[in-house]
Amino acid sequence: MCPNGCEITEDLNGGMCGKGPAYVQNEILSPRRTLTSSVKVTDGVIPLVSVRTTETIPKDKLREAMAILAKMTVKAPVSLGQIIAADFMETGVQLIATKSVDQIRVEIKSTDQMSLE
Amino acid sequence: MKRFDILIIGAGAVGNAIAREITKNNAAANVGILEKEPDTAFGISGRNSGVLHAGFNNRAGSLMAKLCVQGSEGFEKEAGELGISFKRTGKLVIARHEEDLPKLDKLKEQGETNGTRGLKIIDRTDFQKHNYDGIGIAALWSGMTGIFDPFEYTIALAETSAANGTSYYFGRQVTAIETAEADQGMRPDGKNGEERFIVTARNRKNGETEQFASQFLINSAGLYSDEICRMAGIHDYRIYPCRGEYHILDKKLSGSLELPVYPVPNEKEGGLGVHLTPTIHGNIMIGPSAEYFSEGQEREDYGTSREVMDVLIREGAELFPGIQSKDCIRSFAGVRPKLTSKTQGGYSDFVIGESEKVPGLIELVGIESPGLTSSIPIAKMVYSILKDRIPHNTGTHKEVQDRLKQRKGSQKMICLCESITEETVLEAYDKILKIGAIPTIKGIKNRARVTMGSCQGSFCTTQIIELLAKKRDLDPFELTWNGFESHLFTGRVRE
Amino acid sequence: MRIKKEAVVIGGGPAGMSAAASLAERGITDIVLLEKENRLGGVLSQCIHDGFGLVYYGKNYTGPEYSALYQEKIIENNIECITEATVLSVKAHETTRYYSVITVQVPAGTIEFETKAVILATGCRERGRGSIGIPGQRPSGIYTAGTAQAMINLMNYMPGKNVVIVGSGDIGLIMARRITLEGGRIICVVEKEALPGGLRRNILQCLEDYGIPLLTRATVTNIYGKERVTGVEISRLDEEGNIIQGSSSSYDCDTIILSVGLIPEDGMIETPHEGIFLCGNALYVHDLVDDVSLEGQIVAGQVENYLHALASGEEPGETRYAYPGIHTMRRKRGDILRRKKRPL
Repeated sequence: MCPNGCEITEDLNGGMCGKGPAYVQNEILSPRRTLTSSVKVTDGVIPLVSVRTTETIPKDKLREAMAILAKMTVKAPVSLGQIIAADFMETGVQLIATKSVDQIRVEIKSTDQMSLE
Repeated sequence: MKRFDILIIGAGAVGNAIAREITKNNAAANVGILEKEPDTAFGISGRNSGVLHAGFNNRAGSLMAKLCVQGSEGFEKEAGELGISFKRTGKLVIARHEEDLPKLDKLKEQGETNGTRGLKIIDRTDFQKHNYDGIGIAALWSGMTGIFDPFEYTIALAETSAANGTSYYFGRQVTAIETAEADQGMRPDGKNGEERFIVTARNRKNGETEQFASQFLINSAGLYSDEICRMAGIHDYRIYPCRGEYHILDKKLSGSLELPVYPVPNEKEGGLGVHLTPTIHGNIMIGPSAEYFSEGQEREDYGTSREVMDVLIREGAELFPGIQSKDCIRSFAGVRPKLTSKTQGGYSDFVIGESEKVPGLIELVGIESPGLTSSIPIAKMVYSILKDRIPHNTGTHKEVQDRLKQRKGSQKMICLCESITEETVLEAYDKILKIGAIPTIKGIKNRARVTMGSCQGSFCTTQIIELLAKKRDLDPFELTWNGFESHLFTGRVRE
Repeated sequence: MRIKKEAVVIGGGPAGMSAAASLAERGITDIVLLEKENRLGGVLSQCIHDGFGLVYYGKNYTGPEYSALYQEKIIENNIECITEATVLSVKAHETTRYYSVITVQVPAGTIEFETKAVILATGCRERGRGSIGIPGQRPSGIYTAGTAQAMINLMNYMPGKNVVIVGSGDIGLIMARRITLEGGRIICVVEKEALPGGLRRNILQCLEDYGIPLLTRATVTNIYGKERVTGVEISRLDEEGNIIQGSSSSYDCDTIILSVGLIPEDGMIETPHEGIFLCGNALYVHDLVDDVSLEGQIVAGQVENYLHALASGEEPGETRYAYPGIHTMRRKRGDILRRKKRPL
């Protein structure tokens, strides 16, 4: 059963998009998944930027990938598609931002609001 | 140790009304209130039908009847002073069968004896005129019955009391009461001597023990009033908790029920004699049920059960066809502090008065329905017991004058279901802090109506948290659902 | 003072953006798009997983990336958008039933629009606990899946650590994976039907990949915990959906996530009058955003017809709703297909 729902038979037929046979081989021998998650942003209008791997990475590397992601930080502004990590975990795949994040604008307080202390 | 002239245990409608009554008339009286919950109206004052009863359901000659009728008569004035919404919708008690008819007559008679005005027996042909479209062969129309928001009312009483100088202590659970004898130089009359009562309480926020001293002690602890009495050495009372479950229906249904409708209880049919009550905000509530707890069962078990929910829907639909369980947006429960057990059954009046055994202690035990309606008359009754014995000052009192004042601020909608602006939420939060209560989502909900709509908070909960973080610097890990351990989150996703 | 428009789009998610862009492409430019959040994108902004655009674009986008495609179109076509705008009501015009008056709340106050066509692209809301009637206590820690998703993906809060998920629809499955990847533990997913509700790809990538148990013909029958959730009772159901006596067991957990249904959000329409067009989840709940985008195009065509009819003095036909989404995945364009539930 492929991710799109096609039932692929033992002789690797039945898929619609043509990627069936390759998918099945991978699924059995070396399954791969796209990783989508978030990375912390500093100075941004939102605290996290959503990220993805540009292609699938080996499924057994997901846990490790999450641990690495958890320690990453990126500084705003972030643009859609910006490369966060070029050769993510040496898989040859990029980790990119999937949304843009504007930099937060610091409000300047007027003088009568500032204390003299 | 903090010292007071009067210390009130329990900041529900009755406790708050007493504080207001005292401080309204005696600017010099030093009043304190201890409340175990983080905020006011988390107990029975916030778990009821929101009905102003007219007094025909109470036994003639009882304190319940007398105070209920006083409460009903005086409510326009009080609601006006407090700045709360109130509608005298009237109510219909429906007779479905021939054998119900004499009961209607009895109720009318009882009401008239109690002084209830506006009672009339009507027949089916007049139902429409009284805004009712459902089943029944005849009904008792009670013109004086009304509906209001019990949160708004209880909170307004608290805010007024606080503005008048009452000190509120939330999250304080009373654990012990020491009483000094009169001959030890302590007198409960405000003249010479040390305070008569020393109350020990545990601060639920930080676990510390605190002590409060007072000349007079008022036990308005609702469900726990018997336990407070016991701590003071009075073992005369036992509360039998009796839970009532309610269903709240989505607003999309309403507009079709204008007034409370109750069937005449019919013993042959059994069942609950389930009530349908519109709220002042336009939802319909079905309930309450009546379920006595067994010995040793936790008193504050506000859980709802499948069986009762099914019965409520079934009986509700009999009175009001078209009601379905999927129209229910929320269920809740309240527990009545009954003074009679299930087996005893029958009737028990309010216990209100100064204890003979422990002078200076004012007992308020068994304040179930019509407690809310009677709350201000109860307060006046308690005040009259105390007034000549507490410090007196005829200076002008401070009421909350700016309750109705318009405020400029962000009109951005935060709760779409109920059309509540950001400004309203911030005001609610500020009001919580102003009386010294501990901020909770529930407290904000009770004041601002957020999360009470169709989505039950699935859209606005996150917005409320963000708003308070941004505009009031509130740490989102500090804000709980209903206090203390009811945290919203277990941590951050990314530190 | 009323601002006059040819069409007003309510909702800046995928349905609204698609409809607005299509209107502009058809030359209908005197329009405005109203959005309650402070950004466009709707629920896509929090759907950071992939699987969007497989059918329509042949590509595998994440929610925010798919949303960006349409935000681009909005900018290119110079479409006027008002964010932080909450529609309070859509009423029939006082004199012409073919026009509507929309009252909108913005941070500065209230404004009114008078418009010929209204496109309601307001999405849907989640069914809650009250509506499915789970008995028990009411502690904190009970969240609908969408709310939990917003907390994790937009606000950086973990709603819980040990989670029971009620309902095996897609959003619940997605959250099962998300929470697991972020270090939480999904105790189990319970589904009251015999077959899971979500897409096959999600069963595989969200449950099977992580060894998360799925209990079918089961449901939560009690919730424990006075302040925060401490556990649940799960019971099995028979073929008619009745609880099987004696089949209950208790599970410790600190969080319950509900994925028990979505309800189209169409409540702001006061009276059914002419010129109201629904598209996207506000019309009915879709499985694929691709279909929602297509529907946006279709509804723009219907609005165009409506406006032409009004301009030429004809009676507009009964075109109150967009056509249901056409699921083009299965080769047969033009057929209206429903996704079948497949046994595991």
